[in-house]
Amino acid sequence: MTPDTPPSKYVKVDVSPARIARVWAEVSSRLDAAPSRGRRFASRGTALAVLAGAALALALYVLSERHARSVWPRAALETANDAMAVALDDGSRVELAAQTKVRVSGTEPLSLALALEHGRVDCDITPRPGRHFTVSAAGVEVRVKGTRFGVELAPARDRVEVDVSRGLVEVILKNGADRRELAAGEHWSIDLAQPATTNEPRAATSSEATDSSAASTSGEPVANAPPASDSAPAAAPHTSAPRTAPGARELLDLGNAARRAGDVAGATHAYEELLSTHPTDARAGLAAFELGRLRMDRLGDVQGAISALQKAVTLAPGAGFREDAMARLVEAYAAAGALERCRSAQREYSKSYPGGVHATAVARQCGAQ
Amino acid sequence: MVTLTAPTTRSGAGPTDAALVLAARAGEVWAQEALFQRYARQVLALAQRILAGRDDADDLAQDAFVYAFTRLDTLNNPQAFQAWLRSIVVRTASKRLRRQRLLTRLGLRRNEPIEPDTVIAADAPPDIAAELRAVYGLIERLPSEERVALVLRRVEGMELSQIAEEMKLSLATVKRRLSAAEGRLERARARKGAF
Repeated sequence: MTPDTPPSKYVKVDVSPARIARVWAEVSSRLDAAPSRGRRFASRGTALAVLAGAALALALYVLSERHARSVWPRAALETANDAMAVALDDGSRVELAAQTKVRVSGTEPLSLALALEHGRVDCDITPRPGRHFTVSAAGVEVRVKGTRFGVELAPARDRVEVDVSRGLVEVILKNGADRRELAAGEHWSIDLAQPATTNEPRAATSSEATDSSAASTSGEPVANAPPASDSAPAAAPHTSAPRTAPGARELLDLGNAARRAGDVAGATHAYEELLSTHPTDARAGLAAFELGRLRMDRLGDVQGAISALQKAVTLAPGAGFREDAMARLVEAYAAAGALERCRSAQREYSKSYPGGVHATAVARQCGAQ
Repeated sequence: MVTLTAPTTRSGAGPTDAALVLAARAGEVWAQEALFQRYARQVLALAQRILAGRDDADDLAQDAFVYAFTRLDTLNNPQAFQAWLRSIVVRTASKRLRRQRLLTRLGLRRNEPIEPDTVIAADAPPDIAAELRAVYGLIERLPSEERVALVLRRVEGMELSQIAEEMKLSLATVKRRLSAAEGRLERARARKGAF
């Protein structure tokens, strides 16, 4: 061996654009989930919203770092037709949806308090010892313990919804009628216009989406709606019916995280749930591919792998991983002893990817020598 | 400092690693992608040569890039991004192998021997092919640090000081790891009558 010809030159490595694209898709997806990345919240603010956001950011900063006394406590931020985001230096982020108004209401050192007057605010809060972060909406207070969550106040101010995507929050009704903790994946809502005595049955999960939709789209104000923040809601909460259908992105992230942590059962479950609840989502193909790999490599479930890989090939005709999925499918058919289907898949691969990176390996399958 | 996320605009940063790192630190996704595209091939190749498994290499590459992009603030010299990234790959590989070895010992993972012919290119000269066959025939049985050190030395052709730098180990420790690995390699060769 000489320094000019290191053996590394003779190790087979596939650095095809398809493989690189697939790795980037995964990296990008994981970075999206990381709190330090700005992309999620970028590119949507109008100039007005940015200016207003600067005011809120400064207010939050002042409140978080110093004793803000009189200037900022009632600072307000309102968005029109664009969303807007504010990032704090500790990685925490606050995103206002369109048609949202929040007011800074906290004045204590190391205490951030936002009052949601209408619309929706999503918060991604970095845990910080000694700091309290709360969002209140029409008498409902959400205390944060290092988490990502959203609070929505319906236009008619008659319904508050809280959903938690990560971590833990504590929801408190100001009259003390209810206090509970919500963990990741849980959803809680309350109909403020509905007297407690005429409480609806505890919400079944299946009806929750309908209820929520109806409440958030009802345009008429409710005559006895409570004032902004200091009167207790005269209503019964739809007590923490957990939201059972997390989004496709969330499920893919969960599956990938579980897979990387070696939790095969957890990863399989997340991918399967994504495929069953979001079969038309753009991520379904990738979930099917990962599921196929797990079933094949870790679970020895060849038939299950075939089923998942078939889905991957079908669901993502233009995806970078399709070539890998087709090659894996050939391998799975060979392992199952389904030689006729194996050869058919082999022909399909060769036709789709003549000279593909797996051509040699694929050609060796299906009983070929 | 408080920063507002604003519509993404290209900052006009030049193509140097330092400029891309600075832009990426500021949350510019295009700069992260540019760094990724610049080094993805190197990272994937290094990962695959260390792990000798395509799927594992993909996961390792992902882990390394995510780690790097979420810790750019800790990189003191932005122009040294490439060396820093390589070091992350090497150390992450070492951790990954340690974990796999533990899982194997606990019976939670199958230890699949590496098939050297799936790793070595068909056009490798006979002496290099023999060297690679010996290395890849052995490394699955080596402790993680010995394995990584051996690949960096025998496959990557790196100097001991470079290996120490990338593995974040002292030179003496690297020498010990290599000595142990090469001793095993020689014994394996002797058993197979390779000489």
